[in-house]
Amino acid sequence: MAQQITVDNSRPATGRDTARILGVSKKRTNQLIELVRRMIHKDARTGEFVIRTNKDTSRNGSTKASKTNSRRRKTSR
Amino acid sequence: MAARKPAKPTRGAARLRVRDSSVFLNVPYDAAFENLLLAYIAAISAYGFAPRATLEIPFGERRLDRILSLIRESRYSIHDLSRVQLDRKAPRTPRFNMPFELGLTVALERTAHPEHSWIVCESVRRRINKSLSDLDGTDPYIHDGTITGVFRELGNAFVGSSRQPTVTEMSQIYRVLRTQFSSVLKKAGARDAFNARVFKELCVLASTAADELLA
Repeated sequence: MAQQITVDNSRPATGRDTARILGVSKKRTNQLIELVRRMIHKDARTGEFVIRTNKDTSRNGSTKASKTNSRRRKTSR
Repeated sequence: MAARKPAKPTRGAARLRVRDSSVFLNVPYDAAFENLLLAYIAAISAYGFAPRATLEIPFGERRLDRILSLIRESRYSIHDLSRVQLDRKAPRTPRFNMPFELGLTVALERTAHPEHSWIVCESVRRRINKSLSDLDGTDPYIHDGTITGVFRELGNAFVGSSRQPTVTEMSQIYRVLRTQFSSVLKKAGARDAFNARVFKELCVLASTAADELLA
């Protein structure tokens, strides 16, 4: 069996702790924290966390702007 | 003689000590490994640690000294020995940095820093028996070269941790990193993740995401 790592159970590092350890400026740390907070939302109905990406996922499959490669390949045969 | 008064608690003393908490990450720096680097950062942060890597070392400093001090500053280390192939650039060579840094770590652990814990990761089962037979008796964690494999194996390695993120939670942190990746690269004027500034900012993003998702 592979050896396991024994971990002390003190407080886990936060984003600010990590930034301090790695020497990231306060200004940039605040920007990065804000970016993450804007992305992570808790679904009020299910209580689960949802990661919001910038990509538009509402597009209907039938109105796809470009064909997939496999489709193109089929038509060119 | 009067008993000594207990020291007045200082501001913040009631707060828990931050986890003793850097993990030295020894991985190959090539484009094919980028996804796994992000996976390692996501998983290490999910467990509440700050990832460290030789990527942080500025040019001009004596590299070997800085590597040694990075290992000394870290309580744990993860050594990924899955890149054993020859690289593509001429003259084609294998990369010796990862096994070399593992050797430095083992030497430090056996001499000056017995509290340091280290693990070895590989993508192919039993290959390490051939590539580094000196490690016979030390079983590596096999991640199969996949992101989920990295999450699974670090879950096995850090099984004693009080914070036990699920693979889904680690995947969510990974997704945050992936989404912000191009903007971090652009800000740093970098082409890939193997850059000091990009690495540090990804670590801050991952730790913040872990804090939001798991606190």
